[in-house]
Amino acid sequence: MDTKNVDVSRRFALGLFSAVAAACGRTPRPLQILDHVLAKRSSGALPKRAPASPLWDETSEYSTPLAQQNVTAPMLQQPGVTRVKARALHDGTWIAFRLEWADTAKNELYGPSTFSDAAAVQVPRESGTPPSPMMGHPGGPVRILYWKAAWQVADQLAALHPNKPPTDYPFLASAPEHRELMEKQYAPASNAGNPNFHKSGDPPLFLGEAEMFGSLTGVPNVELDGRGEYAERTWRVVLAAPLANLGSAVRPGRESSVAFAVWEGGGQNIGSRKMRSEQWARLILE
Amino acid sequence: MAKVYNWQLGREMDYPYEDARPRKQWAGLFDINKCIACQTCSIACKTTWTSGRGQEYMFWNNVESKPRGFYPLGYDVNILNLLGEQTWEGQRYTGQTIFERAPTGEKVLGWRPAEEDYAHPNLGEDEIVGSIEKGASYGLPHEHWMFYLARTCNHCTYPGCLASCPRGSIYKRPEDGVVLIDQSRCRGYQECVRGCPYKKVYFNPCTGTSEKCVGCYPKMEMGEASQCFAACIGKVRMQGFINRHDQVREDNPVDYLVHVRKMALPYMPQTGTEPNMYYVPPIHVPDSFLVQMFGPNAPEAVRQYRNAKDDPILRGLFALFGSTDKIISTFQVQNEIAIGFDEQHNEIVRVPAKEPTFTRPATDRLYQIRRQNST
Repeated sequence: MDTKNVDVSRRFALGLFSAVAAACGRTPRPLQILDHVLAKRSSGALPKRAPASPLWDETSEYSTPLAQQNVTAPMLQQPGVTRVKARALHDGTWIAFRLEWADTAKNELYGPSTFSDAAAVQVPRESGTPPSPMMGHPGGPVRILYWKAAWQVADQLAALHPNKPPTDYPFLASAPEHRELMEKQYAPASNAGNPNFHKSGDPPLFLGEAEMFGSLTGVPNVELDGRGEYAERTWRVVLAAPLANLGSAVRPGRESSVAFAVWEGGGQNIGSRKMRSEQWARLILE
Repeated sequence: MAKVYNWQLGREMDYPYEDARPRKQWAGLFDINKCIACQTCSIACKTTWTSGRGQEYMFWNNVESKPRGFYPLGYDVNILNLLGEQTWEGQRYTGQTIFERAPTGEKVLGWRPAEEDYAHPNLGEDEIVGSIEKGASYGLPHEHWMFYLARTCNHCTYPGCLASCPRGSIYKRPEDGVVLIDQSRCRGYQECVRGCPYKKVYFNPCTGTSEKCVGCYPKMEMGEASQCFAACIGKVRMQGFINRHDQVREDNPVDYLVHVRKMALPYMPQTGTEPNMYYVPPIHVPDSFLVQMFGPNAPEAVRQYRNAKDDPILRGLFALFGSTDKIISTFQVQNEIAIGFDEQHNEIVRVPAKEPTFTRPATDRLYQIRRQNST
């Protein structure tokens, strides 16, 4: 038998299955469900912006319950998303996580009393005994990769108020060569270099470091990537970062830890009002 | 929770942080009886600070008609309703504050306005307290009332916004007590919006952070009055610094009206934030309403204000309102002349304690025409 032809036909069959499944809007069943997060080495380019890529079927799935954050005030008073599924791939340089959870509504607006769906992946910055899973502890830092649906919307103001008439903002009157500077001056957080400020086209992610609740601080000048897609009342979100930017704990061939959090915008989840995995999960990179 | 002393309540109260009063605390005096709601203060602030994208609905300074007006909708009645019964025994508040009544899992008792609550910045403008029955307008005094309330951030001694922020992104400047949001650190959780009982923090959807009145601190650092104070054409306001309740200086205009005469009163002191904007209450409003708004000293403040014309110091002090763009640190009244001084005790303004009145004949003899106005 021609083994080459068998291999080709198997790959063709697998590709056809993936294509049909994708066309039907379904993700093929995971290969395996594990009690830890296994980041396999990707056989192709990391699907950093493709939550539905068939490459995600190369790796196993981890599923964990989420609990209300009820340790520090302000607490989440009503439960939100109660379970999240996670998969991970890496290419030796970057790692990408894909989180998946059921959500009855897509919340991607972020305005007064209007909150966006969001999710985060947390890892210890250093190897060894992991710090507190609740955003670390003093001397025990964690790195947090955070995605927010609102950051995928090109213009929040236009999305919040689609019928808003055109407005002559003062900075629009400045000469074109000064426009960017003036626009920045009328946006204080932008002017102050706040990493929470996202302009259109920026990756919808943020990388921060924390050593306890309330201490999350942006890690400057990092390249991040990712994207979320909402379909059939389910979010599938890819959060990707260079391994080096997550600290020294997460490396190929090593075991580390990982934890997750999800915010349901419709339930006014924001900040510490979140659903979180209560314990670290093992994270193993091939 | 730490125990801190709130002089406006006449007692200690719970607060998430230890007492840390600033070296100086800026404060504002407002004579409500003079305000005509021209909104010059609102526009002065708006054009200075909030004309950017995402700031359209922000009014760090607004003027609303009471009792029917609010911005945002129902901000005061909502928090007073949540607070429950608010009782005073003399000068001591025996009800609970927003910190003492915080539910489990929260640092502060609060609520967050819906977006629609910001839809009508001048809702209830000029509306009086009730409907007027036929012929009632011919009698005096009128039974129905309203008044204008100019509001900025209160730059509270124990800010609800600061207590609510889980990230410590809000701070109080030790040099002047201005409460600021660190725009490099805020992550837009809107907990401060929820925790401020006066709803003077606003979320900016374009920057993803919350923003609030900065007290025009760059002007304040130069001894200049903030935009909304300097722009007040009705001479309703005076800006200064308030001393601690146990370190009162009688030549400080804010101390004199707040601590000595108890005529300028904090707005909703029962929230427990120790707000630093002080109001001379309107004279034509029922005591029960005034006590709810300004605490137990309101009726006596009204009585003193009615007699202010017979008090040379009060006459002089009120004449200094709106008389200069500078911040008056100390004042004196001598021989019907009121003088304001800056921090270095340099004289910055001098005004007559009583405006002279001139009366002209009712008819202009040259043009043989009756005058519209003879005084």
